[in-house]
Amino acid sequence: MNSREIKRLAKELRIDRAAIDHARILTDAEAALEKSRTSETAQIPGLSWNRFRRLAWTGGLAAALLIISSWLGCFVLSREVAGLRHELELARRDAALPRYDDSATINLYLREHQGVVARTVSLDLSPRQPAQMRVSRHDILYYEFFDDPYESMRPGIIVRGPSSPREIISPEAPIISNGHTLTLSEAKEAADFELVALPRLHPCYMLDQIRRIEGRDAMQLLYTDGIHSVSLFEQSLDGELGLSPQDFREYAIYCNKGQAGGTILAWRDEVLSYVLIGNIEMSQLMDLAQSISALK
Amino acid sequence: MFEDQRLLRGLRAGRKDALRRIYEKYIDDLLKVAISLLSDIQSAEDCLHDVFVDFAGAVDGLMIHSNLKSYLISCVANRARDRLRKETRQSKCQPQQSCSPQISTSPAKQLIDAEESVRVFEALSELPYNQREVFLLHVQGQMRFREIAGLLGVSINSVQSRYRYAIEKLRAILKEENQNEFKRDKTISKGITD
Repeated sequence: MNSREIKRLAKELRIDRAAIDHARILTDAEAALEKSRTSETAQIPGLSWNRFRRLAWTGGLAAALLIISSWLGCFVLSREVAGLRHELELARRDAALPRYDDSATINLYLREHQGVVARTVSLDLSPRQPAQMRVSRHDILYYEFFDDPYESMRPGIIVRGPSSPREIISPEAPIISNGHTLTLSEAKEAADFELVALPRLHPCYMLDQIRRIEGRDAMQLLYTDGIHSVSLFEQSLDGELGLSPQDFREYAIYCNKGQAGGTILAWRDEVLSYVLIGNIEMSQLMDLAQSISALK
Repeated sequence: MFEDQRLLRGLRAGRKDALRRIYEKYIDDLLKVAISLLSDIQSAEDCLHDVFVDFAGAVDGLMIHSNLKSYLISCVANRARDRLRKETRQSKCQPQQSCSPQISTSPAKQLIDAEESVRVFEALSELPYNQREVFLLHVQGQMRFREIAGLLGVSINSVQSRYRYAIEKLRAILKEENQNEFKRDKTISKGITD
């Protein structure tokens, strides 16, 4: 007799099942089942242990997924931050290097002044090369097209001289109303602020023209002594569409560098900001500024 | 397998018909194991009673990793072992009573239908309890040696060796019984001839 046969015999062991009391076992088991259902309903209504375990398992899984996704997010963001730090460091280096270069190259050469001088004194200034300006169009805040040959067109230009081009977020450049000049009374009515307009500036500059700058709360007053001309820009500090005070502060800094072309002087009082531009010496500009301030 | 899962779901929902179906499906196998382990009708019945009452009362908290039949048979084995331990302690405490480790098999024999089954049953009852338990769990409960080892808390090598000893011993017992039967038949036939 081998083991397979022994297993077969054991499996086929036949027993008379009527010898035990099945009814007793089943009745007691059913009672136990009913009791367990009753006690479970009384303890936790509507929430079985299995459901609770399932919920706990699902919650744990969700928490694990959340933790893993957070880790991944942190990892990605940390790499991003590292990249940004690196770029910031590079930008700082870039900003540090050309600082001196900016002050040297943001020299203004006002062609309208050059033209006025040429016409007035018959002096050819063509060999005189304008200083280079490495600025983009967005750095030009006030400008006018120079292709108009009429003498009445005497445009002014202000060029922003930033320490770094990346620091500039400038608005679109406005346009000076070409050819349309205002009388003093018209200008005072058109300005949204109390216009400071002297008919004569020290020592001998006379008010020639007044223009309104379109799209800006600013006015341009052009003074001339017959040879040189000087533009005075005025705008309210409270104006929503004007230059910011920080911009003018930059011009005041750059004009100290002994510009070869034009010279700019900017200042402000409590109400207005002023920008003087002329192809003259800084000392003369300061005299003009003092005369304007004295009037105020 | 799928029917067992369905029945368990029904049982967890409190359906008595599911409990009855499980009972009807597995009571024969459980009874065989209980009687083989305990060698007593009343003890086997009590054992099955306890197993089913506990099973029905705690069905929500059950963690059944294997199939339902194996689970119930392992419950019967555990309950039978506890019962035997208890009886052993009681017999030690009461020395005046007869303390025969071999429980009388005569009432149990009444349950066995065929003659061959009686022989197997007697042979099983002669096995040491550990070997009998492993043999029944493996053959009747269709449990793997690894599962039996986990249930009994012993190594898988111990389970395999117990099973091997059980088979050898059963073979020897059944062979001896065959020889005795053959001699008895020969004597009877000789007497008839004389």
